[in-house]
Amino acid sequence: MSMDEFLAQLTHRLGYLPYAEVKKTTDFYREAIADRMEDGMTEREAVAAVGSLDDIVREIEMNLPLSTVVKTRVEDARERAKERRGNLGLKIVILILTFPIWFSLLAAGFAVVFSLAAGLFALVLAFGAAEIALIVGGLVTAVLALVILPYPGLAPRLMLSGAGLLMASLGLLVIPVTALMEKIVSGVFRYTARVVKRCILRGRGTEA
Amino acid sequence: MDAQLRRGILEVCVLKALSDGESYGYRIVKELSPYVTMSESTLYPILKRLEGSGALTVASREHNGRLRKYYSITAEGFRRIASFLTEWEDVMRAYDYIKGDQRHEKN
Repeated sequence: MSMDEFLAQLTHRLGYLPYAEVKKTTDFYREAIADRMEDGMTEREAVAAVGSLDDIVREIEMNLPLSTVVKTRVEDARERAKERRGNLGLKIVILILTFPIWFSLLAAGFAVVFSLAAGLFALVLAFGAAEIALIVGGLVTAVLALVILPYPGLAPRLMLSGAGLLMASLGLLVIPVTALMEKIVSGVFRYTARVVKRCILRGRGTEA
Repeated sequence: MDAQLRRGILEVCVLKALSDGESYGYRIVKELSPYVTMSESTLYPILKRLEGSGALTVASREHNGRLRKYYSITAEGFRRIASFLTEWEDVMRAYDYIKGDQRHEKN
């Protein structure tokens, strides 16, 4: 394949991306092929060496932000709807008639995903709140017990102050647990985003 | 190898290739070829990610009548290399432990 053919096919395969992104990508590969040719390769060898079109497109798609993938998918669907405008009336009627089914399923799915996400957030938030409460409450108790509280004698004051310090140290112990929870939850979100993106891209591939 | 792990290692390899001075796509691929298998299709998203995270900067300059992009490592890029090396020491300790256990099992 010649460089022009390669770049034309790459432009076509990435046609759904913003123009600036496609240009940036084709510029990169044009430069890479030119560099390899300067190094003594023939044009065809240089094109073959930069990687297969499938690999290039897959790598680019897997690195796109989820929002771009979803936006692209919506635009694709809109384009396809325009192309099949002949059946549009029938589709609208079917959509309206089946509304109670698909809407309730969609709402249930959304509710499940939302509640899971909220649950995970709440978990991290709860650990964070416990950490702050224990540290602040513990330190305040430790100081106030010695300075302000009107307990008779030193022993109860020292005991209360010690309890405060114990609380604060418990709070310090919760810090790594909170950090771990945060890491796990953000990992779960990142993994979910990757799976969703892969499903969307696979969907695009089978429809194209 | 796990895709995420491989991606992370390749990112640091690219940063290392830039640590002695600016470079361009093909030269990075050539420099890394004795150590890792990488073509431009793998390198391109890595460069984009590194640029996005502030680990490198890009500047276009003319070369033989055409524009060529030169990539330079930033302070953040050097920090990434240092943090990778520190974390990798933990991994190597675990590796030695696992390898040692296997040796015992064989005996």
